[in-house]
Amino acid sequence: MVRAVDWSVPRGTVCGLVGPNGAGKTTLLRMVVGLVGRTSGSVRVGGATVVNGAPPPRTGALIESPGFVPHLSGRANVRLLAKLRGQGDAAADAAIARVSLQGRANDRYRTYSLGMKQRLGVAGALIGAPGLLVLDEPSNGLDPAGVADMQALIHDLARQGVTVIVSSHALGDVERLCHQVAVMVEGSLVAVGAVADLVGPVRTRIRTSDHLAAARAASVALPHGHLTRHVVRRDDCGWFLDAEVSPDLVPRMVRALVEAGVDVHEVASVRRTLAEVYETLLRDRR
Amino acid sequence: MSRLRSWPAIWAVVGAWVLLSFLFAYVFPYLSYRTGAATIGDDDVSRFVIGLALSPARAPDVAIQAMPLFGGAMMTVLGVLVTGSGYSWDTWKTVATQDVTRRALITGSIAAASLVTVGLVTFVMALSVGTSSVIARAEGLQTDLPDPWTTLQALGAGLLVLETWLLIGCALGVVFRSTGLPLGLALIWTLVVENLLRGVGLLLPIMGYATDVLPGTATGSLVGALSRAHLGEATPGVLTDISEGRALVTVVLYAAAAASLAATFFVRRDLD
Repeated sequence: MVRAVDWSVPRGTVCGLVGPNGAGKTTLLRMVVGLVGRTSGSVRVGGATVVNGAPPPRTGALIESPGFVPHLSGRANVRLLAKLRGQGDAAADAAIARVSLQGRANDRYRTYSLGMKQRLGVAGALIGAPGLLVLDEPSNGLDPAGVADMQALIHDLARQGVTVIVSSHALGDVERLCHQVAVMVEGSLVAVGAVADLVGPVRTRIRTSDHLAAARAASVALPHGHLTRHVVRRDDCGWFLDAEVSPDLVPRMVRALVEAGVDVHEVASVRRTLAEVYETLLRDRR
Repeated sequence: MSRLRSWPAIWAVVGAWVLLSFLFAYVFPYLSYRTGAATIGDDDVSRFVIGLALSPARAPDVAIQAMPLFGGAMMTVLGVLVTGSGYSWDTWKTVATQDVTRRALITGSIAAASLVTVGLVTFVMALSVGTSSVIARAEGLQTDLPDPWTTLQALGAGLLVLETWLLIGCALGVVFRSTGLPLGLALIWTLVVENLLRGVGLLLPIMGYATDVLPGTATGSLVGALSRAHLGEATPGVLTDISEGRALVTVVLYAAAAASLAATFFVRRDLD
């Protein structure tokens, strides 16, 4: 069930939709492309309201798993879709080439591997030069090279001004690929924003011999205005001072700490990953 | 149409029905005629009746006799495959996101299957006339061709009967959103249940009224009204339970209801 969703996807961006199984991601995407009706609210694509049961114009989609006629070749399947959009065979062949499936395009769909089916699904979604592309788990079943190809394709499309919404459980890929991310839990969007905003700024980690040294490091660095939002923490490797430090101030701060007699064991720039942010969000919900 | 044309299951269904129809309408009666194996009544009379049925003039009647029951079952299978497979293979979901309305999709699919029906009825009719002409020449039977009006009537009735069963199959495929269950139900209904109900109708008058409005009764009676091959009573599914006019109206109503049901369910329900 999809309940509280208020999400604007800027034109020409790649937006990730993440969330645990059963969160409502696929249902939301189905609503966007008109496969599933809404009981309330509205979906607008390119300014036009999506009508229940009707696909929005210039929208391509691969929802959940690709669905094609098994006894037809991949090429014949995509050509059928091209016909529905009033496009010729050339458009279908171009879409097949775009997903690097030319070599097996004449084989029957039923002989395809999971990854090949997925590629064909994306080819079907690319027919008619869509302005919005909705991809639900597009990398599902792809080998590492296929995943890289898929990401390159999505980047390419975004460069050409295509808006892409990608649902995925591969948070590392989403972090690399997307400009914006929406986190969905139990039918509601619990966080939406640019990836950089969600993961926060780069932090500096100054590892010391013990907690006293870490606290001393903080007291030395603070008056110089080197740090903001600092905290003394401990992990498996020992105590450290974790703080937001402007990158150009790091050398000066380290020099000040050493001159003050603080044992600095390690200085590292660290950034929270989307996976960490996601886990935190889920933990907070629980 | 290209989806249906290259689909082995469609060829298997259509081919099986044409083959069975040909075997039962011409091959077995001809063998019986040649060998004199018919034992119903007086042998000469029996041979005469079979010879009459094998003549080209009777070809239109003979061609449509298998349509209400076996042809109907086959066309219901075809209809279920045409719409139900889209759910089984998830292809409805794929095509429904291609800038085309669902009404156009279901209309196009049914239209393509209907074209198959037109081709099938025409082919069976031509095969019937051709085969009976060859037999008539070989056996010295009357070689007069059927008159055009009779042929047109038979073509129309055959088309209406098969189209109705096709649409019922299409509706079942959409309603159940699969192929397995509706196929089973459709076959049991057309081949078994309706016959059982008509049997009960002989014992219970109230059931008789109910069976008069069944699709099998309507299609069977429509063919029965047109059949003048004198083999009508012996052909399963060919009936004379209701009048030609009532049968025609009932069949048309069934066709319209099935088409509406398929379209409404397909357009209104979620594709998930």
